[in-house]
Amino acid sequence: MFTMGIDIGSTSSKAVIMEDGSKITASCVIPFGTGTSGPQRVIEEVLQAADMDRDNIDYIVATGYGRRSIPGADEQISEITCHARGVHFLLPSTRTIIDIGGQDVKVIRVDENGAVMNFVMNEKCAAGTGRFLEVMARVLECKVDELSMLSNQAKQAVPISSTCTVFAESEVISQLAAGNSREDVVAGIHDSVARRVASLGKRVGLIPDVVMTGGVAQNEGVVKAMRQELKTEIKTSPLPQLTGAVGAALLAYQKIQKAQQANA
Amino acid sequence: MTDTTTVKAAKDVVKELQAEYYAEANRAHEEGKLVAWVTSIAPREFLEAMDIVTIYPENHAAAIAAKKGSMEMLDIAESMGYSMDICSYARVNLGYVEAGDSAAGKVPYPDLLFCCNNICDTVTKWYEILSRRLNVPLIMIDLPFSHFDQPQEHTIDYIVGQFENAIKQLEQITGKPFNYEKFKHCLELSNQASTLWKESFELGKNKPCPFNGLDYFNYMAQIVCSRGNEKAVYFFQLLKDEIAAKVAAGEGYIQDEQYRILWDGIPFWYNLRVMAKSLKDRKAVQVASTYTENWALTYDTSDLRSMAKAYMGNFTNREFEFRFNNMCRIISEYSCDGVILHSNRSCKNQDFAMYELARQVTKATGVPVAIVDGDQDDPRAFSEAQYETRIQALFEMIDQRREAK
Amino acid sequence: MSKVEEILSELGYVAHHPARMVEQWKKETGGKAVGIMPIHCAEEVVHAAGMLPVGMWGGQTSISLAPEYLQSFCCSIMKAVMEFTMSGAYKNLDAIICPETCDTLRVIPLMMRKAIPQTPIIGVVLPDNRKIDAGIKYTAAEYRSIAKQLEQITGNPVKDEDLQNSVEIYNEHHAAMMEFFKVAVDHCDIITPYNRHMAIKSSYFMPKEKHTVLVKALIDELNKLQPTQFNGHKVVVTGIMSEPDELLEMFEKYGYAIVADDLAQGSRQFRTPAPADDDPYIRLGKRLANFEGCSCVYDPEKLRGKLLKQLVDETQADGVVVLMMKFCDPEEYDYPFIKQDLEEAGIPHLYLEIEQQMESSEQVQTRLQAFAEMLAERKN
Repeated sequence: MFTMGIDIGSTSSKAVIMEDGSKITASCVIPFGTGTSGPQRVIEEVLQAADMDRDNIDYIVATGYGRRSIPGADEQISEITCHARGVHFLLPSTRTIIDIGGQDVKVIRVDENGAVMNFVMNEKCAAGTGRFLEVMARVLECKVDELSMLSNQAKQAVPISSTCTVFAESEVISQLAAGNSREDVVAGIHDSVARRVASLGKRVGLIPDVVMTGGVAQNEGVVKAMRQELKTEIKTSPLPQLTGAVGAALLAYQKIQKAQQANA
Repeated sequence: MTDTTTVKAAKDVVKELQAEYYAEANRAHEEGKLVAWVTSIAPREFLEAMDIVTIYPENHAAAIAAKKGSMEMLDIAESMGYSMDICSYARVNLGYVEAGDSAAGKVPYPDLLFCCNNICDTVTKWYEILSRRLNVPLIMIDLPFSHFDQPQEHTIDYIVGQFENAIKQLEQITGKPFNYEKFKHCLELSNQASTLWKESFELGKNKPCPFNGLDYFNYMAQIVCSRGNEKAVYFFQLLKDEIAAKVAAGEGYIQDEQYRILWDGIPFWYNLRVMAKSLKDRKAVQVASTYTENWALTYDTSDLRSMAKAYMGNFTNREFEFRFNNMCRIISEYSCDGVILHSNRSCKNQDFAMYELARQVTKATGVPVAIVDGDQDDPRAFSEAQYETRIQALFEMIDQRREAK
Repeated sequence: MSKVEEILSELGYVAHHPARMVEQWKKETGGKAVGIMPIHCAEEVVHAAGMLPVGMWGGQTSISLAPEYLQSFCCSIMKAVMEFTMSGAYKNLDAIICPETCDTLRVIPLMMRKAIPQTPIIGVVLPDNRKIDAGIKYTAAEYRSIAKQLEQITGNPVKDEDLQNSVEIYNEHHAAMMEFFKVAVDHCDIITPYNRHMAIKSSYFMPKEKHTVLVKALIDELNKLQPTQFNGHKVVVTGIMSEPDELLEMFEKYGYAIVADDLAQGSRQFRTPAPADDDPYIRLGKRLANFEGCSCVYDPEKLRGKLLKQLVDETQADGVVVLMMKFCDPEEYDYPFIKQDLEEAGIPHLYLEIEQQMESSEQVQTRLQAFAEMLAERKN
């Protein structure tokens, strides 16, 4: 039995095909999100990669920001439930998930089955999200994926206190103008993100294993800062971009199983 | 003329007194005394009369921010679910309750809470939380907001009724009868201190201004914490004498002062340096603040109704006309060239009348007004760059106005 | 249309056309209308004065005029109220009464006086120490003071017996609302979150005695029907209000029914009756003294969590949705203890930040959906 999970975000589209809810057959990531050709293409390309047709897929679950506008999806489930399931599948010891995405931050507590026990999301504010880091990277004239390397070379983090992205921008500029190195400033930015996310996370409680996922989880600098802030071991999820789609595919499989049991 | 070489400077004395005050407070429980946490313009005389040691969480929170320790406390409170939007004094204090120590040292935990909402309604919510969290009794002195020029009789009736109720509560908590003798004496001392406090800052009307108005944010600690005992009377006599001596000698804080400024609101405790520097560099002196007037609490000590009226009278408890007239009066009496209003994220009571106040004051007096965004204890809400820009604009407006004359 | 649908339709119409309702009433009776700002302000005095009390709870509007007076961190309700004030939407109101509910509401009436100086803005300041004798007497005196100020507008004194009568009418209305909430639990298919809100909201724009008639008729009709078994997510909501309409539609979309509320705009207005007394003003004082569990009414024991647990038990709800009105200080202060109490009782809850002007529903939808999925999982 084959199921597909589709995760359509604001900046990228991801799809995963799983067999019997236990093996990943194929996956695909397209750097275009909702409102573009991305969703359509990611479905086509993941089928191609698996050498399958749409007819081979028994159930499709869509998740993510653009989940409601996927024709052909059998169901849409929130990214909280899907990420929880996906990360837990990839790392069964997971009990708390910290997902720092492009536009929002989620902290999710899961039980031993990967079911959501509690969750919290950021308030109406970009601080601590991938967007925040994009703005900062622009100011520092570097690429977002260079931030990690830069902070690694820091001698001492320069504190960046503003939580407001706009204020933080001017704060970073002032610190650079004052002669602080880019490396030290980036370390300060990472601390700022970590602090913001940690504060949110503590509201639901951070029970180990704490696992980070989402685009920003690929930034070692932020992960390191989170470890320091929370004073606990933090793992990063394997296949961090695909966790939503994996979870969706798993939940799709669960749905079929339930339907079959009901019919039996 | 006072020989200032043998008398200590007020700046040093207030530091000593505050150190003594905290040391005494931290010994209070050992010495079998009760500790109360109190709001800044509460009638502390009731507590002084019963030998209860008073601690001011607002004061402590300000000190924590001044010592750059507020972020730590804010993080703790926010992790508990307290929104970033609520008053930063409350968040810092609620964080301190969990941490038990701070960059500004420790204060003893309270045996009771004494909350007076003349300053705002936030304190009511904050103290409710403290009462449940620390499981201690809360004495609430509700001084209703006044829409009228004069408080109404039934409002005063209510307040006096609460005073009487508070006395009963104190007797219950302490197990002792209320000490009316000492209370009367405290009221006398209170009035003396308030009078001296007022007389000292009124000397700011002189040109050049004999003091740096920012120093009053330090001196304030004594009128808040010790009003009602001898220490405050001693200190404010000393302060007044010191300033009066300067006036007599024609001495100014900045001898060739160029600008006289009125500051409205709580300072940015975490960045006093930038406030001081932005004025000093321009030879500007803060000659007055609307804040200090709040503690000029004088009344007929034989009449609780008179005391009730006085305690209701601080400007955040008053209608717009009072705030406006008061500000215009200060500008005139202290010869102010400009006004800085702090749009303090934590103080909605002031903020939401601010834009209109600024417009009306400029219209009535012609004096330029700048509004700066920030917060009292939360450094994240303050941008030095933005502050500098606004202040610069203010001084340019003042210069422009002078040239036009 | 069934009788039930007819009544719901009428209530919905009233809820959505406050200005029209006020205009109509004024035309029919020749009387004057008085706006009542939130949250706790006894309408009975206005009613006894022969005037129509009109609830002022903000609304859907873009905010373009209000920033002249208010910074962005003002709650959306008051921003909307200021916007309506400045745009002339309240021109049909002959006076406005504003209670001193919170720091924001301390200052809003001061600004309204500047924006619409021709409309009397009457401040009422209710006591924190509402339970002591001095407090009850003070509440009574404040309301007497309002009565005097209303006299000056109508030219007629407010008689004590008229106020007694009004208190009775309001007691009856409030009892009917509480009865409706109870009956509605068995008919979640008809009394959807949206319809439940229409029943509440409409009460603010018409004479209470007329609203009572409609609500009682609705109760009667519902009692004729078989109770329905609701298989979705039964929740208790708590907060200031459950608006805008889109929010309620989302509740329905994700399978929720609201089986009880602890809303400032809802049951907080209705759940405490005014006890008997010869002095009708003292009755109002006593009612306030007996009232518990609101973020804007002095509560040193922080009883809201306990109250919510009770509501959950009574209605066998699956969870609680905390409708956090952004920038509402009193509600924000209350949240951590509510959270603690609910967690200790094992009751799942969702913290949902809302604004009256909901520009982007995406965030709200995701959270509601995720919580629904979580509740569904718990049932399995």
